Amino acid sequence: MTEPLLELKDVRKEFRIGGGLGIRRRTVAALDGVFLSISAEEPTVTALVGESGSGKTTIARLVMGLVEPSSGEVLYQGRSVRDWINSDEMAYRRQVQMIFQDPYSTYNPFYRVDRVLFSTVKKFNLASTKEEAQQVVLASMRAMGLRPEYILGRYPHQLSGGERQRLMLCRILMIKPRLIVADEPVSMLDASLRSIFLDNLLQLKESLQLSCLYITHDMNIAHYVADDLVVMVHGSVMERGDARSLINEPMHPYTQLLVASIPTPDPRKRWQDRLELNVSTLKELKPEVGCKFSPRCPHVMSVCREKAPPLFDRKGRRVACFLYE
Amino acid sequence: MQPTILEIEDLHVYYKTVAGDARSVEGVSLSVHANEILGIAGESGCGKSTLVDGILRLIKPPGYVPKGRVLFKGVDLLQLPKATMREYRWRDISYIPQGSMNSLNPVIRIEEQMGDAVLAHVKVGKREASQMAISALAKVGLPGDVLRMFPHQLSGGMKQRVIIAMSLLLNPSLVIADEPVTALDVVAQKAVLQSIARLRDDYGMTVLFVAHDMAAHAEIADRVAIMYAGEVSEIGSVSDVFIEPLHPYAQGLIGSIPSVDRGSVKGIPGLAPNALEWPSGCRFHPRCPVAIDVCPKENPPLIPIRDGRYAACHLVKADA
Repeated sequence: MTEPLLELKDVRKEFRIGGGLGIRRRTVAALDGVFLSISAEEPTVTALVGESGSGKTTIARLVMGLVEPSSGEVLYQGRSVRDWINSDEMAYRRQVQMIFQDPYSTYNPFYRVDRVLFSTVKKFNLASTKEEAQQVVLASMRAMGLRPEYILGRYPHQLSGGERQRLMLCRILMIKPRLIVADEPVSMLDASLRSIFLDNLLQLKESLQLSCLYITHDMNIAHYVADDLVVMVHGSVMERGDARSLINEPMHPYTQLLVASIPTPDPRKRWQDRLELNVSTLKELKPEVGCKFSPRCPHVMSVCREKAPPLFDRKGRRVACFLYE
Repeated sequence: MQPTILEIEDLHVYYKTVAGDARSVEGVSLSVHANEILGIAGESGCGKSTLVDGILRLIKPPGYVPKGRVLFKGVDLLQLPKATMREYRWRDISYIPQGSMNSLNPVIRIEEQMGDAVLAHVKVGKREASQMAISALAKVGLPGDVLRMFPHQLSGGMKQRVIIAMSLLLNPSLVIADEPVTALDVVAQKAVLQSIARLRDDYGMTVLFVAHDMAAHAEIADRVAIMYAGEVSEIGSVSDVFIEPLHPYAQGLIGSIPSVDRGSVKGIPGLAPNALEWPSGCRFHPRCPVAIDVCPKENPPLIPIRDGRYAACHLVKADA
């Protein structure tokens, strides 16, 4: 088997909190023993889903080299991200790019938006002359369905969130990376603009043959863009597998809860059940030992509270639950 | 049909700016029936939140209300003296502002925060205030233990339900909730949406439910009003509007929602217009796939089409 494009091996990331104003200093594990891989064989969109605080964004930051793992390894093409950044950062950035959540704060409000594109051309040496630079930028805009005569020379506040996020895709198109990390790129966009962005993204995946780590908490969007799905709870992977089959036939109790909570934009298919949350466990929502989902799990067994389940292979899927041991 | 509890007539809300008036809400008329959840849908900047602020008289300068009436059980709220309006708030109409779950004070227990709200409006003892808090919490499915807790001990979904419970303290007949499930994960969203549905089903309340998420409307609303550019483009029962939207904007909006049981989706190209310079005629015409000659010239009024359905489009005619 060839080396995966991206691989996380038993990654743990701790953050220290407190330590001032008389608050007890302690560490919290944002990620706890995460294994993840994205194949290098064909372009894949891997969606990372989970509630807030499940460590999705920490994974994005690790992949971008913005933070380092406390233990374990983050490997890009078999080489650790730390190593890439220390020895050859430009080469790494050329291959791995990020799209952030907030299309408002990624732009400097005092500069025109095209500066983002022209500085990219300069930084990555994408053109040798000014005319060539102009050509590269215009071509990327047209490919993403943006009208250059409308966009060029404008300031960020004059563009919609959707246009700003699509300009980020123009950057991607110019740099032609192998992997992009997209952290909730459409959560701040209006519904009518979301699908345009998502279609542009899928178009890039095909034309550039790029893979994407797509972070979201919206299962409808994950279903729309993703080939693979990774479901996380409190820094641990609960289930991993093909997106369609995982949503159609969830195995892990958390994934089942998640799928049963997806709202459908069809009044004929309203929820039939009522979600009962176990409120007696309010304070122990994040257990130190055992399965991270055990306090809320309807099928909890005594073993679940004693040790964390490893990922079991079941039906081509990986499930961290003792029900599948 | 249930009686009308809130009647909004030709409401306008403008904001004064150096470039002229921003006409954020213009000529909105809506009736809210007792014991229903009326959803207000639309994209950012369409005037949803401004409409709510207009209803509750929360428009502050440079905003102003040049025209319109807001009749709550027949009384025009816009004409009431300030002190009387204050009595209506919380007791008759309560309001859950956007993002309010983050406004809980982190260093004060829930009991005291809920108690303060009670004591600010009615003369009761502390113990009685706590009893009222417990019964309000029960309505959203939270146990009384929550009273002893600090906000950081609660998950996002629970904080939002505490906020909803606070709005129920004085048994209002109308609850106005602005984006109550945004920023929650899907599981918490479901819990909160179901709590809101219970207010209607089990406690006979009326809810004006503002959300940009169409799927949330499909799950709990009875009727939905779709706003675009400060106006209402379509109103109808949720099943009618979702299954057979009449207005081209409603069609585009509903067709653009990715969903697990749907294949491809299509966005609406173009840009949401600016409240300082709405397009001429029908405000949707520059983005409309089926616009005809009259659309840039005349703004179509919101007209009744068939039982309980209204649409504002030159191409949609009333059934004979």
